[in-house]
Amino acid sequence: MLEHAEIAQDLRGAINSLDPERPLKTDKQLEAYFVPRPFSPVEDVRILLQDTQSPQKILFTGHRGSGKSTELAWLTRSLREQFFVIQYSVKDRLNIFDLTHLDIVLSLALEMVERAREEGIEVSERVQEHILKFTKDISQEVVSEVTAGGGVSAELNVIVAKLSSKLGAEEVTRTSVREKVSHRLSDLFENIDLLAREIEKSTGRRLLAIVEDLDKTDLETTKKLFYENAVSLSAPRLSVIYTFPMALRHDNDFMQIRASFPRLYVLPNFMPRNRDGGENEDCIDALQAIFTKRAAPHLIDANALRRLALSSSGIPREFVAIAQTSCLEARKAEREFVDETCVETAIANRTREYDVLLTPEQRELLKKVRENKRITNDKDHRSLLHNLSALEYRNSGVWYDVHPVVAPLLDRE
Amino acid sequence: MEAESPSQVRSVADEIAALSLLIRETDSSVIAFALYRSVADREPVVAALKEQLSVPVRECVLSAEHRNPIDYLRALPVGDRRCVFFYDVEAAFPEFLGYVNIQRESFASVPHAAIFWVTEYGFREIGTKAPDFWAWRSGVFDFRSVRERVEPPALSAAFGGGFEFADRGDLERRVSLYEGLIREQQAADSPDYGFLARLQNRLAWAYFELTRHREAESTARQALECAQRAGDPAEEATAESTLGALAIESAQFDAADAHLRRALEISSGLAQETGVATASHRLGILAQEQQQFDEAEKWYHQALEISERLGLERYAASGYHQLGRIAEERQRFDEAEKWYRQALEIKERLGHPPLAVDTLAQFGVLSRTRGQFPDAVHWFCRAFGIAAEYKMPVLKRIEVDLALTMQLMGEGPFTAAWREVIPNQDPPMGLFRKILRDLPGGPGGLRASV
Repeated sequence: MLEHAEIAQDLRGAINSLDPERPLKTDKQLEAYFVPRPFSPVEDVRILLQDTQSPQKILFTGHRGSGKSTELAWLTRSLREQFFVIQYSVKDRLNIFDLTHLDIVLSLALEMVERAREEGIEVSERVQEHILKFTKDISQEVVSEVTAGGGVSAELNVIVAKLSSKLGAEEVTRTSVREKVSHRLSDLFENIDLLAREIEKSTGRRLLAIVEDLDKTDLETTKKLFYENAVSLSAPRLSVIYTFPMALRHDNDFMQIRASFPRLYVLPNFMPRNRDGGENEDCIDALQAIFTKRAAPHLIDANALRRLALSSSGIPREFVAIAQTSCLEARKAEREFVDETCVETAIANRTREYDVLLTPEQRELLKKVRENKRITNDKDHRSLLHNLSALEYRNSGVWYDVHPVVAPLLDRE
Repeated sequence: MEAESPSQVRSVADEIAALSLLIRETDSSVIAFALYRSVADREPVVAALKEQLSVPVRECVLSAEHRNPIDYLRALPVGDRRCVFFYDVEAAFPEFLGYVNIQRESFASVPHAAIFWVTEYGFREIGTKAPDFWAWRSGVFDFRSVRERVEPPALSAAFGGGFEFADRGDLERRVSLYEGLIREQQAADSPDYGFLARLQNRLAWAYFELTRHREAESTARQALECAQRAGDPAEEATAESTLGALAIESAQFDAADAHLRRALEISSGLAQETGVATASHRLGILAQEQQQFDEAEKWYHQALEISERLGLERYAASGYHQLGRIAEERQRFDEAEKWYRQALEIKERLGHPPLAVDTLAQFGVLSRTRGQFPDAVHWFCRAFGIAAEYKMPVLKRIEVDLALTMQLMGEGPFTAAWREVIPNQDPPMGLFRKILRDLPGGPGGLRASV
């Protein structure tokens, strides 16, 4: 159902369309299901990239489940005419448990070579030879002799493919290659710049790399990358968007990181309630559209849909997960559509999950968050953001609140 | 409108129904958590769920050595959707938390439903330390409300058919289950020694099947002690019989004889015919190991008479298989084939593929001995497919048999014969070549038997 971007016409179809494990990826899915949100920074990012001539380095962040991957996919789609976009996940290319700035910069170079080959982009032999020599030098001890017919281009493609596959999988390769790259970092940047210029010349488009999932490494690793190695990550002369962990924004060293990466964009959650508790109709409508773009309106009662939006916290994945459980409850009760009872049961399930998860101390903290609408920069509050029991909202300013499904637990004696 | 209060606890039956519904209604991957308090409470729920779920259940026990559930999911056949129960999740901390948090998308790349059985502690750790993974949950099912004391007899009933039909995953799960139950029973104010002996006997046999012989022996001795303390001769006979089987494995034939004759004596005294049949069958194996084929045949026929009369088909199939082995040792190949066919007919009829693996492989050995190499490949490939799917310990020996057959018939004809049976998968030639290189003393030194 989700793969084919169809609108579900029955509850079983809706259950499979509302799958919390699947972000939107393909053009077809984006066209069918994407719901723009108020205060999304993606339009700002698009304008910044289009209107500035100098390469930008951008940090992009948001709560887990807030839809970062989907928004970036949407951005890619809207920039395709002006930009040659290289989008990849470090998780798929590198060992995320053992990651350094050298790996990231090198993976960027390898990804550029591979994408250029895939798209049949013409790169001059002089540049290819230059890159080939460098790649051979850094990988000679770990990649066996390559014999490929077809000249420099074929040889380069084979050696890059081999190195790419080994870099994520083999510790020996990483150690050896890092050692060599660390002494020749300026050569690596020079190669990236040369290739970038060739790609831009050949395609008539500027180059943009989107490096995803850096927010999924552990915080210490990410902090080291962006704090201690900011110069390396900023050096390539092309625009790069790095995803960045939300929790690091509450770290004491964040301002230092910000000095190196002034362009930070936060993807806000949908905000079904305003800071004063009043209902925000624009956001409620948008959240409701997440359901009605995936499943026919006759599958849910209007009041139930509104209740769903209000209780979802405004995080799309939370909305989708509660909606899926509501559909399951409707199936269990042998109903034709989701009514308020089904939604209430789904919400109660979600509340029970937090009932097991939250310690008494966390509940006390959450009461204060609810009252003061703010958090402090400490480990305890960060853990609340991590498990989504506390959430950040932003419109004209930034404020915090508790997840609506958690609220009943705080009111309990 | 009836809103549920969060303090309301849903019944176990409701939770089972809800989990079954989630599995039935979804087509793609699912991540869910099942909360439980104790192993004793969990098992009847697991048994009930297995009955109700619409897809086959596979079980995987995580541990400090096996910490990554994604490896297990990726190894499953992609064609059919499975529901996988992961147990002892907490034993795989903290590495488990890192793996799942970072590789959460990998769950979406397989069609299976992954259900993680966790305690409150485990659930909190996942929610706190693997929040990205936790956020992908499709549901949490709370079985902590199983409050009523589950009495040992009821619990035993939940074990169903015992330990006979066990693939490796199932055996490992059973080890985890029995270990947990034994810990809980030992911690009780007044342990039920009879129940403890029963559990220890089952644990010892699971260890035996996993070739963890030292642990099997120590556990069987504990079972013997508990059975004597409880005055339970039936469990005492089981422990003696297991010790006998273990002694055969370590070629301590006198000790094996003493244990098995003691088991036979107790079971005969109790008029417990199943015990008599088991001890007789093992005495047959003992005689066969010592090349005393007439003696072995006598014991096998004695065991078979009881198994056939009581309709114990699986036991009877084992008897036919062993008689086939003796006929084969005596170079009576037609007779061996007749016994193996009888064994295989029953095993295939029982419907659990792992049961047939040893006989399929033995057919392979027989065909190879007769110089019928393509037939040998046919039988070994069938055994290989099942053993690989069920991760059976015997897989390695079947790989050796295939490697030997490849050497005898040449790689080209071997590959052609393999493709007749498994057209969609090339033989792992690299593995087979390595096996042949590593064989101590060359292929002649290896006894190919299952």
